[in-house]
Amino acid sequence: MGAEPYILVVDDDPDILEGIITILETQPYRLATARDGKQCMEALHREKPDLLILDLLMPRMDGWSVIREMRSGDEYAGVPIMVLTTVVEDASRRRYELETGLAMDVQDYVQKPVAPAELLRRVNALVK
Amino acid sequence: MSGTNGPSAPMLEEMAEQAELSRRLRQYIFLRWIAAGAIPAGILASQGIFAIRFPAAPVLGLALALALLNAAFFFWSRREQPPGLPPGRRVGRQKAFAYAQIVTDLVALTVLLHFTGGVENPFFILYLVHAGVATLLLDGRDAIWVAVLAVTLFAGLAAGEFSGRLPHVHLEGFSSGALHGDGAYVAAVLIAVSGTLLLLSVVAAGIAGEGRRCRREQAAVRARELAEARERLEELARMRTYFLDLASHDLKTPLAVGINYVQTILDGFVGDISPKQRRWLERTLARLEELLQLINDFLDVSLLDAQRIVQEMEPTSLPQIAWQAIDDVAVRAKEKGVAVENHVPADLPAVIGSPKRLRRLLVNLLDNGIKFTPPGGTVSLAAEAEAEHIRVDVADTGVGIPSGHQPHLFEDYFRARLRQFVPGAGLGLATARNIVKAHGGRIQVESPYCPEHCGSKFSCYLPKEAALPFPQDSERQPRAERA
Repeated sequence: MGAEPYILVVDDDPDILEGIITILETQPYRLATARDGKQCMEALHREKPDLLILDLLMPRMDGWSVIREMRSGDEYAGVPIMVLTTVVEDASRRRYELETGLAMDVQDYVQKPVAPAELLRRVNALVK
Repeated sequence: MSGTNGPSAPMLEEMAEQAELSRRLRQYIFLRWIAAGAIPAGILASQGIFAIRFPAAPVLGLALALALLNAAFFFWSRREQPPGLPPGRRVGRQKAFAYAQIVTDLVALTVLLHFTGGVENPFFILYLVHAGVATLLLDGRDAIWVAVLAVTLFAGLAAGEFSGRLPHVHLEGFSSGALHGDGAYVAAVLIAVSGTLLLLSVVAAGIAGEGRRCRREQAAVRARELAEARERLEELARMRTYFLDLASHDLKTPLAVGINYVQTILDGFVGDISPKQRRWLERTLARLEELLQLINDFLDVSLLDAQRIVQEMEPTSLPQIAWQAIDDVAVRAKEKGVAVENHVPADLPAVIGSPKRLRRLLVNLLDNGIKFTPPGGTVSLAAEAEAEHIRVDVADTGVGIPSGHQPHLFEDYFRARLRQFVPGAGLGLATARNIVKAHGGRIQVESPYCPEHCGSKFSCYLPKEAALPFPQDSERQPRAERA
């Protein structure tokens, strides 16, 4: 692992991606982005990140499917996931439970919008 | 499919059968009161009107014994069934109870006949009534056994008197007194009674069995329909959740981007801004956040899931929640010029609840009060422990609620006091009601409530955590009033 933590940010909305990147760029992180679940899986395959920041409602492959895929094997078991979404946490967890019969195993759940300072605090807590 | 399962077909059928049996057993016990009363009346009539002589004392004794037994049956039937007993076991217990009563009656009838002329007394026909009752209360085979028992008892009585092993009680003034020893007569009566009894019970058991089968089939159909309806509801609930996820996403994403960008600029991530730009951006942010709150209110009403709330429940300190809620509304109260008073006693017992939902409940009720109270007025929050509940009151000195509006107040999207435009979607009270309901409590409104015919008082009744002392928050000093 390099000196700078590697963070993969996944969101289908370019404005949101830019907003998050603008905030995270101020920190010593190495950043990569993906625009949907499929791109996310490809990026994960190329390099395992120190943190995955994941939107849920995305075209092609949604965030719940990404979580299900990542949590079904051992390969990405150690990758912390921060969900960053507009979806209410209750509804989101319920949906995941309904679809998989399992509790949603993510390390943080952040609802948009989030203040920049708050986002940095929570990201720092997960990558250190 | 996960979730709660309703009663299965056999269970529904057993529940229906149990209710039916209970009803018939009550009728049976009622009929026995009549029978116990009819015996003394019969003695009076036969001896007084028809001048038929027989020893009345043992017959009266029998009537008394029957009444006492019936009292026992009566109290047993009203006894609570042990909770948690499956309906099948309940039906089994009831059938055993019915069996015991029928056997008691058959023995009582045989004793009665013995003291009133034996086979000479035409009331032996009553055996048929008991066989009939048995087919109504018991399964076919058990009912046939009852008929066999009746035949055995009657045959035993006739044979005993015929052979002289049992003393014969003569009905003086009714018969010659020799019939019990007339072999042909005794045989004819026995054959007629036993033949009729057995035939009746077989036929009736067949009919009753058919009825029971019918009921069973109906119950199975009902259970299937219920299961289908449940499945449809679950599917609808799932679709609703998916739809709301999408709606929430579409409504909130543009706002989230806007808020995020403004906040990022304000926090200096994209360079310096002038004081005037900062002020304007701060105002922009406030308005965007207001819109976000409005959308959240809509989603709150739609997404409130009682099951989820139950999972969040824990012993919760209301005094602490009260302070948090008052903090939450403080800015709005100050802007409006309405004072908010806290009269929640610090030593209030805990309630079982979801802390974040209860906070939302109090915020909604306080906001509602602030919204409808003119400047200079007061909204007060109070709570009191009652026997089984904690009562939480939010009272205001506002305009009050027209009585015609009160029944609709907690309905979704009902805006009661429309005389002047009031901002907000009017979902606060519907959400409050949903939260209280999910806690197993109730909410009511009294308006006008104060002597000057003003204001409204909302009272929520929340279930109390039984005698659980809650750690006091010693940091907080009681404050009497905040604006």
